[in-house]
Amino acid sequence: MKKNDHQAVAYLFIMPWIIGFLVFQLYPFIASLIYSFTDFSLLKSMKFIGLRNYIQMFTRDRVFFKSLWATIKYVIIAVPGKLVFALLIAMILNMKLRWINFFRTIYYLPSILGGSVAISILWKFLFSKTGTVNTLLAHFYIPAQDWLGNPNLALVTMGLLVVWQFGSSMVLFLAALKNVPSELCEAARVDGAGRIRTFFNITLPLLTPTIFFNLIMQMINAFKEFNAPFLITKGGPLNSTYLYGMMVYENAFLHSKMGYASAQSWILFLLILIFTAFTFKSSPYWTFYEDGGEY
Amino acid sequence: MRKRLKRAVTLLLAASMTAGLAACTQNDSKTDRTAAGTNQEQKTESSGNPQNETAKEEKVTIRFSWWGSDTRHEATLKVMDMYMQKHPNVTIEGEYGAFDSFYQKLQTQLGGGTEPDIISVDYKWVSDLTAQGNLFVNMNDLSERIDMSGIDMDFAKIYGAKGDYLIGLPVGVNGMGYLYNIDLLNQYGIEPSDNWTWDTLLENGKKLQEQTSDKHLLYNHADHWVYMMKAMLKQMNGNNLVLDDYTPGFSVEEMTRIFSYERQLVESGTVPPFAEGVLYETVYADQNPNWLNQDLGIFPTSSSLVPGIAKASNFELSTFRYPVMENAVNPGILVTPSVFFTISANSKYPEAAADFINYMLNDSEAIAVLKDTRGIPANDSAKQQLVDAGVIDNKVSAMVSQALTGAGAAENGPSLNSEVLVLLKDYVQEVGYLQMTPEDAAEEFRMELVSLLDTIKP
Amino acid sequence: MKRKRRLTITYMMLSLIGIVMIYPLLWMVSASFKTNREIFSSLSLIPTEILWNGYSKGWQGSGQYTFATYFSNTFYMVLPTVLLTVVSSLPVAYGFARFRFRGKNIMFTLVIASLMLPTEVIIIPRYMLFNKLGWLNTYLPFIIPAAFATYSFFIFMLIQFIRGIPRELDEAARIDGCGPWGTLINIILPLCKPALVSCVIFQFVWRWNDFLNPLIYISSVKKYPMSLALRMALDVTDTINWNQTMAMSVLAMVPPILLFFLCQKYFVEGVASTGIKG
Repeated sequence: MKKNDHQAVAYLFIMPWIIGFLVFQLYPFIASLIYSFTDFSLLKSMKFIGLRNYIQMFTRDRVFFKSLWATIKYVIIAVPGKLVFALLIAMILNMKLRWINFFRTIYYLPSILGGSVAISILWKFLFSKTGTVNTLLAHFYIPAQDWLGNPNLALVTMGLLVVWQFGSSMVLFLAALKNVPSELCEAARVDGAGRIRTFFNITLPLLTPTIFFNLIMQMINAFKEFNAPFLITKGGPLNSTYLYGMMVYENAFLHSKMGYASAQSWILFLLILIFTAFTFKSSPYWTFYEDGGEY
Repeated sequence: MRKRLKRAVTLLLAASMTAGLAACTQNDSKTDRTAAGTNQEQKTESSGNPQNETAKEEKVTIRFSWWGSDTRHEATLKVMDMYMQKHPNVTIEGEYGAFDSFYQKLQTQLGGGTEPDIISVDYKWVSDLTAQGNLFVNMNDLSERIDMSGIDMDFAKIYGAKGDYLIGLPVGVNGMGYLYNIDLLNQYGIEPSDNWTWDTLLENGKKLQEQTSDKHLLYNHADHWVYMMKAMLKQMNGNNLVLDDYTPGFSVEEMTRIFSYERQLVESGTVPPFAEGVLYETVYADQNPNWLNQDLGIFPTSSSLVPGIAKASNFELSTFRYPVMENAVNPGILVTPSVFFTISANSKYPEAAADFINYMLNDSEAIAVLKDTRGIPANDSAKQQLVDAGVIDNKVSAMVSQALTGAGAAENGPSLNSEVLVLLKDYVQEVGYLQMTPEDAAEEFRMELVSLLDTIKP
Repeated sequence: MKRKRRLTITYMMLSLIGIVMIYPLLWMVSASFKTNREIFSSLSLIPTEILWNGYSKGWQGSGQYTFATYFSNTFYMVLPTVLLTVVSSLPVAYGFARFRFRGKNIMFTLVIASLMLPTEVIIIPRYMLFNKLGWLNTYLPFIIPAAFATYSFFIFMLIQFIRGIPRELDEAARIDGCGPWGTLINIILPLCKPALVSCVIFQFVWRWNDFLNPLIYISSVKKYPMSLALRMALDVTDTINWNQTMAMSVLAMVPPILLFFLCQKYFVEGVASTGIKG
């Protein structure tokens, strides 16, 4: 009796989420899969065409692979860059320093602004041919670069935007570092381990769960990126920054190919799933959970 | 117990799927409704005058969308105010922005049924839009509400109609031409004339580069490379980029010549290196620092943009005719409607909308304010009024008349398809960044185009 | 001696990085007072020629609506969303954290999985759905899902937090005669305050900066939030007076930054307690 009541109450509490999930997440999720097998635009009626969208994507779409590759490159540049930097700075700030709060605030500030429109405007200005960055480099006699105009460089410039916002990951690492028991480090020091040894053998392993989750979330965010290419480079030059998110948007709302865009979004989802699964699968080899790791 | 859960999940999935399919079918009925709506319009319009009285009484709000620069916005807003003062029961809400993302937004609005009442439509979109049903009120049905006597209806039909269905009224006439910085060309001994060929352009480009490597003779905005190539093609063989039967209007060899010319423009320094111009590809001269700093001599443009550019430039400008190659089959210069004013088929107040359009096109006070912000008026009497008052920007009228002397064959629907244009732009970039040879680019472009046309053929 | 030198070097490096971090933002503020020419050329933060009208003119916007409209629009969009997110996520998190029930594991996995769902996959069907419901061009696509705890990140965050509250407190409440709802209100809620504040901050910042969703759902200029208005400012004017655009961009950044400074402590605690989000 009591158990059933207990359960009923639980369901009552969960109910809003269930409704929300069904209507706003599960339904669109399945619907988009269905759409991916059709040809339809906002104004035309829906026509079932089977796998044609997928076939077309892989055989006839010139930009598809370019965009896919650009997105993967972007993830590879941006995510490790951000995490490594975040970890580094967190390590430094973890030492008993004065003004740590001040630095932490300054470093965190860019993250708050996220991929906002204001920041995109800013980035466009700073990195234009006659922009601030080049002017600064000129002071050091480094020749001006075409940060946003050179197809080889544009993607890096966008990656820099992500790295600039390392503050959020940094705060996470800081919190995790606080949880590393200082006794362990002391013990290692007593045993004669140098700073670097301590880091690699004690601290880093204990940080791996945080690194793991950071990696997954940052990766997913990077795959989804839309604002930066749309606002700063419009996918150019030469489609080198035509990230996947923007491609899906243009196919859906510019070329009116919603079925096709849905198919593309599903491929993105599968891609993220693969990368995530791979990370999960590899985690036992490098992630160390103090409590055995049950989540 | 497990079975119950399984059953619940299956039911869930089934429910979602049915909901999804329901969404599809409802989409159908929406399109039908749109067509039905238009039919109803036709019936009410033909009953004539009694409508006028009732329309004037009720409080009406209509939304009006357009693109342009500040000069156009200010003029339009002023005219809206003037109209609202005369008709206190009417509120007009303006929605305006740049051309760049206007079409995307329009598509989204049309799909969601949230489009404005009066919509500005570019001639390039007409073919795509008419393929998707009767989204707009047929202007031929509104001849009693809107005075169309001054408008060249043939011109309107070429670009704005599908059969008898005329989606909107052309507001102005645009011609393509070369806008140039008088002092700069003078300083470097470059002579503008209405007889330039593509060779002349190249020669002069080299001439400028020899004298000063910082400046370039001409800058092609991303869309403009497309216009240029289309013009060259028409001059070469009289064809549209894509023929009416959805096959390419050119051979690989012809396209190679065009891409080679592009490459020559880049290599000779006639145009700035692509990497430099990338941030300004989607804006016009008035936002291009190189133009404003007088490092560019010529800006190919459509006449309607000239006033905005002139306002931003603090140096003297003039125009000359677009280049035409020797022995051109068709002069190929683009002369098009600057914009169509259309009324959405879903509009709740089509009569009020039509009245306001009539005001903008025919009322002499409105004409005096709107002037040539949307090109030379397509309405003859309006044009005459402005000419008499001497307010037409003479650069604009010069450019249009220069263009008219070489007006090209009309663009057809397939050549204006958004995916075709994106494809061409991509190859323009590949050649411009010197990543592909003209021969390779031409061959690949043609191949991809055929493949693309296959998928968009109706 | 060596230690001191190492320390000094560390501080210098940190300061250098700090400057790099902060410089873009300071640049933006200074640009809001500079002439176009200087924006494009000079490096310094102090303009030689000061334009004072960036804020007032930029505020006017370019046409029928001023930035007052855009600012208030953003508040209309963001505040209900934030409020409803918190109000709906807490009970749901409580249900997950404190109760055992059939299907809990599956549902919890779904909560986590939905975090990984890219917006692109669901945005088109959502658009069609909202279209049918007539919610397009309103703020309902943001507000209603919030009422149903659709922003599952906050459920997750609160679950983690509640798990850290000892169950003995729940027991004590039950002995005192509180039902589950009473326990939630009287015991859990007060203790969750830091986490709830974090929720408010995060959701506020994320909704405030959201661009893609308003881009798709909002079409009339009258309803534009700041993100769309700024983008329009990029497009609209013929001679863009960049100082005005910069001024408005600076203003757009003020609410999130202000919020951050006021609640710094909670921010960091909130981020740390999830163990996930970056």
